[in-house]
Amino acid sequence: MATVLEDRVSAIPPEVLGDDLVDVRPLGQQGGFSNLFRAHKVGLDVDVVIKRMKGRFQGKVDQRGEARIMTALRHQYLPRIYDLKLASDGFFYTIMELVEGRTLREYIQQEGALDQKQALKWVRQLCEVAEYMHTRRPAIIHSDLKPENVMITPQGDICVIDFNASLEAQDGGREAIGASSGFAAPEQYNLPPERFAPNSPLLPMVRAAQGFGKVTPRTDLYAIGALGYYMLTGYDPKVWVEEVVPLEDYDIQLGDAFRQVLERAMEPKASDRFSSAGEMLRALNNLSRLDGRYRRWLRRTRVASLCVGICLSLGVWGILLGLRTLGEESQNSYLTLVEQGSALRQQQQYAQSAEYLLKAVALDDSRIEAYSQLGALLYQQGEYQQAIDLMEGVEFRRADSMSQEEFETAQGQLSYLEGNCFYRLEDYQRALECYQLAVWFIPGQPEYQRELAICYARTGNQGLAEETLAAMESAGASRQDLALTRGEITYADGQYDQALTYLLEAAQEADDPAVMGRAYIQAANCCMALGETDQEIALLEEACSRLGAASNSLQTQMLAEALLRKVSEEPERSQELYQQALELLQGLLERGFATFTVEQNTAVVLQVLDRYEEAESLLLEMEQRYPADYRVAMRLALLYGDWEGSLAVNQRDYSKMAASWQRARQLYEAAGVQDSEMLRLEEMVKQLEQLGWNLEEGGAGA
Amino acid sequence: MTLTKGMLLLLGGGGLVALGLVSGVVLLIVLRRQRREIEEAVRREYN
Repeated sequence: MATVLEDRVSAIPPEVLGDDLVDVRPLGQQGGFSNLFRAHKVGLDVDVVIKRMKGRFQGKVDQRGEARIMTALRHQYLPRIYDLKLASDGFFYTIMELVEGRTLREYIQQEGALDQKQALKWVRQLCEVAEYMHTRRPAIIHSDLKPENVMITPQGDICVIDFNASLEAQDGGREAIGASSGFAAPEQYNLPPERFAPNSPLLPMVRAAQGFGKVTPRTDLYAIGALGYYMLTGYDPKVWVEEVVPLEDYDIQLGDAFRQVLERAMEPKASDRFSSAGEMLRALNNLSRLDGRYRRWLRRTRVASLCVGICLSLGVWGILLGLRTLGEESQNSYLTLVEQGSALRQQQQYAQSAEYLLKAVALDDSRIEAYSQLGALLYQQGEYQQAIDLMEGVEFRRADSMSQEEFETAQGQLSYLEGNCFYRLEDYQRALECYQLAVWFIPGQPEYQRELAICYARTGNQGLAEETLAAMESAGASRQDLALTRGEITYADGQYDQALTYLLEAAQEADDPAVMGRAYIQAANCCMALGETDQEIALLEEACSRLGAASNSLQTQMLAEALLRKVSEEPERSQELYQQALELLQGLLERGFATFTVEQNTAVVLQVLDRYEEAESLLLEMEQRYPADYRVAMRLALLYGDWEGSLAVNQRDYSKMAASWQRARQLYEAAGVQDSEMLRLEEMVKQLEQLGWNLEEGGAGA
Repeated sequence: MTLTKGMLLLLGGGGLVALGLVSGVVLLIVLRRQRREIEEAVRREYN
């Protein structure tokens, strides 16, 4: 044998060796397809292997292909290629690194099966080198990984050798060049059966492998799994068709996770194996993930995460639902307060009604409902300026429960109410603007058009007033509305007789208390303009009677004023008339209709009836509420003047009058108005001064 | 102050969120410690 090999040494053409390769001798271990020689490379001062294809395989094995693959690879677990030469004898000579050590087969045979720590290390190294080869472009498949082709170096690492059966991967796989029993994947036997002789021992496996696909990088993973199996057991795994003895049947110390990795790598179907050497390497590096304890931990983690997730989701849901419910509750409370406030207003319990409505405003200060009711309440109480102050400048917001149409209707109603307040304050221009807005919001409302027409008339726009009246007629407005409007227009035109006729017609026709009340008021004004006080009183008494206590406050106030005016016509009935007026005014105050005018008139009547203490008490209360109004101080000064005048001269003390007069004078100057009552007070002061009472110096006695 | 349904839902929801957050943090700490222990045990077994 040695002689034959030595002969082969001598057959190496000199151009292969040159001067650089010396001391050439056959290598103890020979490859399956090749003759191997050991030599010393002088240039690098290293021992090398010279590899030459065996004569009988020449032309059958792609020497050039293997050489090309080998030269393209450079990895710590692969031998290094120094040179590649096509010699004159037609052979390819590969000069490569001499890998010292033993093959894995020799190692296991000599040392026995490995413990799992060592096996794990070398299987990882095999995966690393496989990953390296499989990630080349094109990928390189070793396709013949077996214990003989894995060297164990003196450093304790592996080195993969023998690339004779290596392939460049192609889409759809390739046919295998060869197969090593036990380490070859099923697809390596997937070859056309007709290539084999009928009595070939490989034929049953070739037939069984049909349908297992072609050779791909996953083919090497089967071999790596099989090598791990061999390392741990010391036995070659059987060919897959012979049923591989499961690893757990061996009495070896082997972790569950490592066993699972090897079993998956050795799955007969390539698609059941790891998708790549990289994935298998990651599985080996994370064996804890495959461990039963880890899986139980993972289950616990999922259950815990689910519980926490449910808890958080329920919590968030609860918060959102709670916020929504709170909003609804707030809206309900708001509407309940508005409803209660409205009911109390109807029952003329103004103070309580205001309390409820203000609570509603405090809950939501941009909703319109409470403002509407508050405005109506203040209007009903005759607090027109307060009502205007309340409504002006508020940016109303539409509540979710309200449709856009409802919202616009409410805005229209509020504008109408505001217009009514301006109307009562005789600010007809502002009233007109409000009515225009109200008609814009609710175009088809006859009463809004009526008020608009009246305001046009009051502001001197007779033409527009007539136009609006004509529009009302064509729109089919009621007789009461038309009569009232006509009455107002003719009244504004100064035709009081004609106006009175229309207004009395409106009052008689009216079924709406508001229209009736307006008609009586304006009819009374006509009477006043005509100097018909008796008729005025009769009309107002009729109005009070027809309207009822709920909505006759203004008419009652006017009636009281008419009675007071009547005194000048019939002085002999003064006591009776004052008494009647006082009863009416006190009735208004008891009903909560405590307007400035009503209170002032009450104080005046009390004064003329010599009920000075009651008048003083009322005026002092008013002074608290209207500290900047000169009229209260003026009334107090007049009262004190009258009161002191009723006493004996030696009992008189004008100090209170002097104080009130001085305060009234200051406020009067600041107000910048003209008032005949103030002139009367000044006259009284002068007279008193002429009598020796010095009111400038505190009302000191004469 | 009367506790309304909305307030109860809000309080309950807030409580559940707080509970979820606290238990989530505690579980995170405990489970991470367990995972480290398992990884350490597996590492000792194979290396």
